Amino acid sequence: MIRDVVRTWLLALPLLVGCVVVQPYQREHLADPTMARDDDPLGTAAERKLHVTREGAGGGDGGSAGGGCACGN
Amino acid sequence: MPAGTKVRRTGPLVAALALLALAAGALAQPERERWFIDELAFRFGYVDQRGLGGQSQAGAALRSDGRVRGSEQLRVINPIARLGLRQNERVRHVITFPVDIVTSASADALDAVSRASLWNEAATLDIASTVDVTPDDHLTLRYGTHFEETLRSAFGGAAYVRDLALDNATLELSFNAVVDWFDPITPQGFDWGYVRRQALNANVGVSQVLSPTTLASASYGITRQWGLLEQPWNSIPTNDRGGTFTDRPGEVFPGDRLRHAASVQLLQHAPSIRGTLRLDYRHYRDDFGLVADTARVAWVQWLHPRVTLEGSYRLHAQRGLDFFTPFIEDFMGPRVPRTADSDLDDFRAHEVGSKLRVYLSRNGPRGTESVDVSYLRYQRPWMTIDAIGIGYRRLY
Repeated sequence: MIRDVVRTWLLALPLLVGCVVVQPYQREHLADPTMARDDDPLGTAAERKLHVTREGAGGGDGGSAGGGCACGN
Repeated sequence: MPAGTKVRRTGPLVAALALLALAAGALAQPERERWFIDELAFRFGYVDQRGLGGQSQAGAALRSDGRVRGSEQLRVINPIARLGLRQNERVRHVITFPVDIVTSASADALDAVSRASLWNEAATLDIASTVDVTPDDHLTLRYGTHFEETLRSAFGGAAYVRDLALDNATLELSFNAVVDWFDPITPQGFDWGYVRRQALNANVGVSQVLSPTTLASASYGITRQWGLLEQPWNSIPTNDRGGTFTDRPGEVFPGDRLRHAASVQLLQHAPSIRGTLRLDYRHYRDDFGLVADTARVAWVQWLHPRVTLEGSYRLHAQRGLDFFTPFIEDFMGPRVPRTADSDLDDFRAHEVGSKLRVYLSRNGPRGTESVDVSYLRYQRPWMTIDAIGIGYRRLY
């Protein structure tokens, strides 16, 4: 279990190292609405609710299950 | 006219304007301290689910895969509202209010008499209050409650976000707690009285700008749950031929569960073609033996300066619980773990989706205002779900 968690972080690590500092005046494209990490909070919540209620692996990452069910959190 | 004369004449005017601006600023200060709405969003969702699951008694019969399955057909009407309130320059509150109206939420034998789950209404009040402690440090307190028939739930949590390297990276830490109280009734109609279950959760996340067009993030969450974790309305077939279902025992879970979820996200904008690639991957496992990998790929394309179209595909592959029990042949003790819930079985689910968004205004006098319509189809063996959504969002 711990091995899998470490593996996932190791996969993510190359994304997080060797990064350049992007100056504010270079962020035009990062400010594009399609680049928002969550540009539709209500749509995301509705999709998450569908997955949490239909998949045993849903939840477990801090968001409310939305169904009042601690089993999904 | 000599230039010096011009300066002498405009000097008092500039000074007067400067004083006026300062005075206006001073007068405007209390204005900024007033509460005002900075975000308003509504969404109406409709879900149509058709499927057959081992935990359901509704029309349960032996199916072609050798399992006894009952109907999981239901429909959900799901309106959600979200309100952003700016208290002052440093404090903001976001209130989310989802409502679920579910038909046949837990179809079982009791329903034949009571029709208890013919319609099941549920509502949640979720409030997140964020304080900008410094320009780089943000603290969020989250709290709320949920009502659903005999179930009551309360939750609360705190999150700390630190902006790093000229806002090129963020670090986020959060903690959450959930308590549910509910009055379970077994498939045989036995009332246990009120019981409780709890969950504690901790998360750590980082995000990093990788280039002027690339953004990456990763997070890990650990959750411990304890109490009565099973769904009291779920039951298990007692034989593999589908003949007798009058004495189906309820499912039983261990009283303690530890869950891990790790996820990464990569966003890549392609300016030349005005599109963005969105990639998500998530790995999950818990000590009930459930392991899952989920990947999602989406492309968002600008069709017009005010119109975007998104297409997405999601694959979820899951290895079910160690104690998954499609049917009971021999006597099992009253608290021996077991479940026939098809959501906890081995399966692969495919999902395709699309979303069309039209911006009525972008950073204009009315702020940013958009409407969207979305559709997704979720499919796995023995289950198909169609969901549509219509949304409106305005950022002031």
